[in-house]
Amino acid sequence: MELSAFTYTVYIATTPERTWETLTSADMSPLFWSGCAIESDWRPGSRVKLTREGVVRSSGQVLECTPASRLSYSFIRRYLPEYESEGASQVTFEFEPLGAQTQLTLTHSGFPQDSKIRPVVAESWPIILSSLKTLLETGQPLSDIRRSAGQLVATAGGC
Amino acid sequence: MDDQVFIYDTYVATTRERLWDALTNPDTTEQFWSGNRLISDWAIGSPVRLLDGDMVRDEGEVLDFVPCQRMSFSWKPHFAIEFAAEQGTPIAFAESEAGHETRVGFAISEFGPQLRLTLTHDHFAPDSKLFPIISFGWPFYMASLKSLLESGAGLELPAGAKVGRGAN
Repeated sequence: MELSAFTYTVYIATTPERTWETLTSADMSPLFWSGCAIESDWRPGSRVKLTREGVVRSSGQVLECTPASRLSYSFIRRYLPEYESEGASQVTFEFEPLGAQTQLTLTHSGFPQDSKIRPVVAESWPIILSSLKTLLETGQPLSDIRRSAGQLVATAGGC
Repeated sequence: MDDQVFIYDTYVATTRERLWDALTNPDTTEQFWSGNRLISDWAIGSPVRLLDGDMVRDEGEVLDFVPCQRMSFSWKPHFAIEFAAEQGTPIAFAESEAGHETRVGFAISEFGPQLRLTLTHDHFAPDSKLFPIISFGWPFYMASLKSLLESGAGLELPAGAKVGRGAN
C-alpha cells in the first residue's frame, strides 16, 4: 500500500520553453530551489542529481524527457539513512501552455505507507514552485528561502 | 467516508496589508479573479458574494474574520454548478450539490521575508463532484493573485479554458 501522490499546479506568466529551461538548469535551479542545483543531461536512463554546496542530497534517473512538455525522474534522498532506505519515488513535471501562461503540474508519487519523505516534499514543493514562478515573472526568486525553510521541517527543500 | 479537504499554499513576496487588501477589496479581487468582485462588509454573519457584473456567481456568510491574519466564510458555489452543467456533467450533480454549503478559509503566516497564504476549502457534500472543479480553479486564482502582488498584473484565463489539476 502506497501513500497518495502529492500534486501541485502552478501557473506562470511565461512560456513552457522558458519554464523548462529554468527548471532543468544547473545554474538557475539554486536560485529558486533552496540552493540546490539539479544536474543531468536529461536523456532517458541518465543520472539526475541534486547537490547543495557540492554534496549530493538526492539522486535518481531520467525516466522520461520531452522538452517543454514532460519530465519524469526517479528520486532517492541520499543525505539521511532513514530517507535513503525508503527507496525511489517518482517526480513528474508536465508543462502545458494556457493562453500566454504555462500550467506547470508537479506529481510526486510512489511513497511507502510509512514515508518520512512525503510530508517533507509536500511542504517543500509549494515553496520551490512559488519561487520559480517569482523568478520567471520578476527576474528575482523569493528571498532567503533557505533560511526561511529552516523554520520548517522542509530544510532540504525537496532536494 | 473521508471528508475531502482542498489545501493550497502559495508563497508571496508582499506585505500582510497588501495581501489582505487584495483578498477583501473588490477593486483588487477583480484584477486577479477573472473580473469578479468579492463583496462583503466582513462582519461575522454578513453575506459574502462573488459578483460578475450583477450576477451572483457564488455566495455565503462570514464565519471568521481577523484582519491580516485569517478569515473564513461559507460558500455555495453557484458558478461551479453552472460550469459543470456546461461541461455536460449529469443533472444529478446539480441536485446533489444544490443548497449545500462548503467552507472557504484563508490564513496568512510569515515565512522569512515572504508570506505563506494557505487556502482551505472543505465541508463538501458526500461524493461531491464539485471538489474536482474547485481543485482546478483555486490554483489558477492563487497564482494570479501572487502575480498581481509581485509583478502588478494578474493572470488571464483564456475563454473556455479548462485549467489545472489542483493540489493535495
